[in-house]
Amino acid sequence: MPPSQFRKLTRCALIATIVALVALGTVAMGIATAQDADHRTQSQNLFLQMAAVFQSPRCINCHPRSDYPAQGDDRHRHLFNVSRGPDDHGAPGLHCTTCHQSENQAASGVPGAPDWHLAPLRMAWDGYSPGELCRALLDPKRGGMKPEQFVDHFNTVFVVWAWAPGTDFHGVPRTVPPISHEQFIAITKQWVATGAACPK
Amino acid sequence: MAPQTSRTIVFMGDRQTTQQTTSREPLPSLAQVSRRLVLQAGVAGAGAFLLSARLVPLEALAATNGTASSEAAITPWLRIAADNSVALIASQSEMGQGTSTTLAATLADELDLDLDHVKIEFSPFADAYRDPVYKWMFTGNSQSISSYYEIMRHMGAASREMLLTAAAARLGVPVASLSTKGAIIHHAGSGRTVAFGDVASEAAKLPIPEKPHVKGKSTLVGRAIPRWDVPLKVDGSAVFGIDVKVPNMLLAAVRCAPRYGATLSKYDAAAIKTKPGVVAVVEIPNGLAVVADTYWHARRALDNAELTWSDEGSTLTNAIDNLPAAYAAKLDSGPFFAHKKIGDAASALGAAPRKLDALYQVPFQAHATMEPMNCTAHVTADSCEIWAPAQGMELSQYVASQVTGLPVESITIHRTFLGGGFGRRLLADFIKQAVIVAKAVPQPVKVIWSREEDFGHDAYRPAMLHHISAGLDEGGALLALSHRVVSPSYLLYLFPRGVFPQLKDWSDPAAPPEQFDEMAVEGLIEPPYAIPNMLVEQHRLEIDVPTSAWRTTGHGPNNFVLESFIDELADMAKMDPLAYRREMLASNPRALKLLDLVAAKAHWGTKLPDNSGRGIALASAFGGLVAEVVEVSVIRNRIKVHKVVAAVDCGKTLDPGIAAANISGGVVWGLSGLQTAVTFDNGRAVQANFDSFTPIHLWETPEIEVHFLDSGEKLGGTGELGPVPLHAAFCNAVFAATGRRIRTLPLSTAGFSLA
Amino acid sequence: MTAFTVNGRAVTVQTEPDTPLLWVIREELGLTGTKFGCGIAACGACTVHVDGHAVRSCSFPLSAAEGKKITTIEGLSPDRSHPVQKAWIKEQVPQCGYCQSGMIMAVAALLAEKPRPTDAEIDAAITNICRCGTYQRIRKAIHAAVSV
Repeated sequence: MPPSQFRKLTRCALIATIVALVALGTVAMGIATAQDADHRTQSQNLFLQMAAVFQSPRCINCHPRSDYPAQGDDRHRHLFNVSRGPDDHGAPGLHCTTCHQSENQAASGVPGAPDWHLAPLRMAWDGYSPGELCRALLDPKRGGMKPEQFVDHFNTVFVVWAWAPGTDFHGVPRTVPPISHEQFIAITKQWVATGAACPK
Repeated sequence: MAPQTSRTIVFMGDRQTTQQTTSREPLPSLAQVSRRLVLQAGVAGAGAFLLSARLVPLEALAATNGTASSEAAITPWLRIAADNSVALIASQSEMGQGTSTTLAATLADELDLDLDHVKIEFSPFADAYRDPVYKWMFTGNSQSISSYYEIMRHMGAASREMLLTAAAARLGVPVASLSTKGAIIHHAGSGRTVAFGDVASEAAKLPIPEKPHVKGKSTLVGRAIPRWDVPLKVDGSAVFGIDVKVPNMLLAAVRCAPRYGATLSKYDAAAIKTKPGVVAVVEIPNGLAVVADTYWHARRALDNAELTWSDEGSTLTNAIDNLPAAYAAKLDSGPFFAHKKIGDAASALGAAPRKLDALYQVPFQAHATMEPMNCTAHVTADSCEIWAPAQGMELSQYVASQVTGLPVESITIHRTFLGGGFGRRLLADFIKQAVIVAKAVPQPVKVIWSREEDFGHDAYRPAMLHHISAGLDEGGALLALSHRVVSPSYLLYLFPRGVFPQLKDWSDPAAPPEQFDEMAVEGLIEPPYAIPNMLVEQHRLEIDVPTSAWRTTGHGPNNFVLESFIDELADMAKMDPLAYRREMLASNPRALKLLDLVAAKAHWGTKLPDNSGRGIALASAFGGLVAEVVEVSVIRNRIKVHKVVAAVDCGKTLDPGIAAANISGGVVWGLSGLQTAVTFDNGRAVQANFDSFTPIHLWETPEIEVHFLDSGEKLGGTGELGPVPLHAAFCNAVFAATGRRIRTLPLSTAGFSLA
Repeated sequence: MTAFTVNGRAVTVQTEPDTPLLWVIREELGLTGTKFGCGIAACGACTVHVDGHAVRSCSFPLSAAEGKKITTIEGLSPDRSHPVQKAWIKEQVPQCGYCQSGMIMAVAALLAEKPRPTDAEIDAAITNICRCGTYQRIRKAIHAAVSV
């Protein structure tokens, strides 16, 4: 083959290859985007299920924006004028641990878990939509958690308490979040695996 | 005198010695009793709490003779030991109203003693300690001072004279040459001294002088003096009923039917007895007691016991077709009993050119003393000893006698401090219960009610429905006032039991004759104003939950209605509420002066910020007068109380500090009562603890100012006076701030709350 | 067996570990200054100090007292000399007095943490119920105790 013809052939081959590659790449990208979109929606939906737990009274009562916790399923202001205090552990002289001990007390109906206190203001979720809540959790300036850390956090004693919240002084059990703790963990793992996407 | 018996009781480590003497008092016949009631009905007036003598044979008990060797009783009010230690006897229960200080101070003044070196002890039941107006031993109705002050002066002076007489005989000098100071008798002429203790036993044998010389001046009385019980109440050593410790004592928890009138139909005593510490299971009226070595063991066993209750009993509820309907139906139909008639209200109302009428309502209330109900009792074959925070000493004595079958003189009640009374501890239900439990075991037993039991088994201040109507002249002046009140009786458990011969159990309710059952209309039948035509009628509603008097008795709710309504009339007449009242007080200069004082102190009429208002109210109650001005601001429906100014004329303030405390504490009670209420569901009180029956706290307490006007008139009481005009003054202030009239309480039913 | 100190004295108590400390103090230990008012931590009459902090003992199980330093009203001072007690006497705070043990313990704990509390800090810390309504004198006595 004369050299000019070889060069022409090579150039064509190169162009063809490039075109083919580009074509392949485009197709591949299209497939990936569709998959991504599915994953994303799936992830967001998983978070919506998780949000139902966050927004249950057992959790959100102690993640308020206000200077005081909420109480009860009707989320009324915690009785007895208790307040957040300078470091979320209650006012000087009336710490949360003045009444709340490390375990639920059946006799008095006072719930308990170790180091009972309010979540700091940067972890307030009051009034957030699920999307806002998700972004707040992941925001380094607020929740400051990476998705991989969620499961460990949800196995801490404070969170687990929400599923064993004890009885009030009439002996009536407090309500628990809408899904079980096991389901909550499983869904969280799936959420992480699907990219930890936040709903809009 | 008949033979004396003595018994030493070890009580919290203190020696307390009681002696019993017997002496006979003639028993009145039933005819005499009825006649006395009729006579007293004419005289006694509002809140007549008429007492008979007893129809149960009674051996009078004098409490105070010490043993011959160590203590002598100089009258029933003073005991002196050979070592010169002095005990002043307090007949009136101490529940924070301070009478045990003031009455002891009165005794001490006559004896030239100060209170620092004397002991003050609560008396047992005895004839000497009966309230002189009603011939019945009790503490209540804010009348301890008015009933006992003169007795204390007289008895203090008498005791001093007896001691001086004995000393004079010992020294061979005239009585007039002796003086007293600090429990020492001085003979100035020779310089010789004799201690009270040296001559106490001789003095005790002398007759009590009829007309001792009562000193003109007071040293302690008239000043704010330190209360003797305050140090005990800041170091935890004060003994309340719930703190009583008696050797070998057992503890009991009790549960009564969750619905009034239901009974216990099934329980497994054997199963309960297997629980830790349980010693006995005892049936009590409508319930069960578990007796154990500790309260918690008893409580735990009871909480875990399966108790089945019968289906019978009250179905009372606050649903519209139940309680409200019952009240409304009787308001429509009557019948009504006319407690008071002045002129012809019906005609004057009919003829009046301007009219106004309104319906007012107040809810049931719970006493909710900080110390839950409790009583300790020890019953043996021939005696019954009780330790209790009791207000109703005489009633308790008889009820214990009934339950044990023992004669009244075999019953001894040791009275402790009361962690609040408010009228609750006038009843004897908790005494009866403890005695029944104590009968079942050989040891003493202390019965403690849980807070839930305390709320659930109160005798509530009744709810009242009040139709008030007025006729005014063209200028708005009041021509006629008519009241129709629907209310259960307040006196079912308090009216003298002796007048109910058919009543087997004196702790049971019994409705007094209507003409004597006036507590529900107190404050209406004798208003401070000149009202030319007035009618006060009541339908006495029968309901199947217990009702009884609460702090302020009938005065509180009735003043809320009357003084709110007078403000409504002032508004109709386009007059300032103070000016409107002043015009009706021309014939009551004493009340007018007080009203003017409170108005001046409260700067009535001066400008207030936006959304703010002042309200005024006046009351004639408990033998005295009180007027209050409340200042509020209202944002949306939340009412903030900024200040309360109270002015009081109780004749003479025997202790300005104690009196001021009673009034300002009473204002707090009144504020709490604006937001508390007891409601019913299926025959049981809904509110079971302070989470749902919530008095106000420190952060909700406004500035309170109290001023006294000592008019020199008869002594009135301050224990319940403070709250009486508070509700109306508050609601009048809300009207001034918002134009909105509150006619129902609690505030939540009117759409408001305290901020 | 639970071992702890009460008012400086070492004690061991043998009873069910979920017994509220309130009843252990009042009965097994015989210290009746700490009062029972409600049993649901609403009223504060049962307030004691656990390692210096206010605790409502009706809601504190015996088991949690293990190794702790408990102070009751009886242990606040041997002779009513604690500044709060002195102020309470000077201002004649108590009426019936039943709530006052808990009230004094709550105030003492507040002052230990905040020696000069503002009125707002007092409001936030002192939530005990007083049915006699002594609140105005309580506030005055707190300020008096501070200036001692």
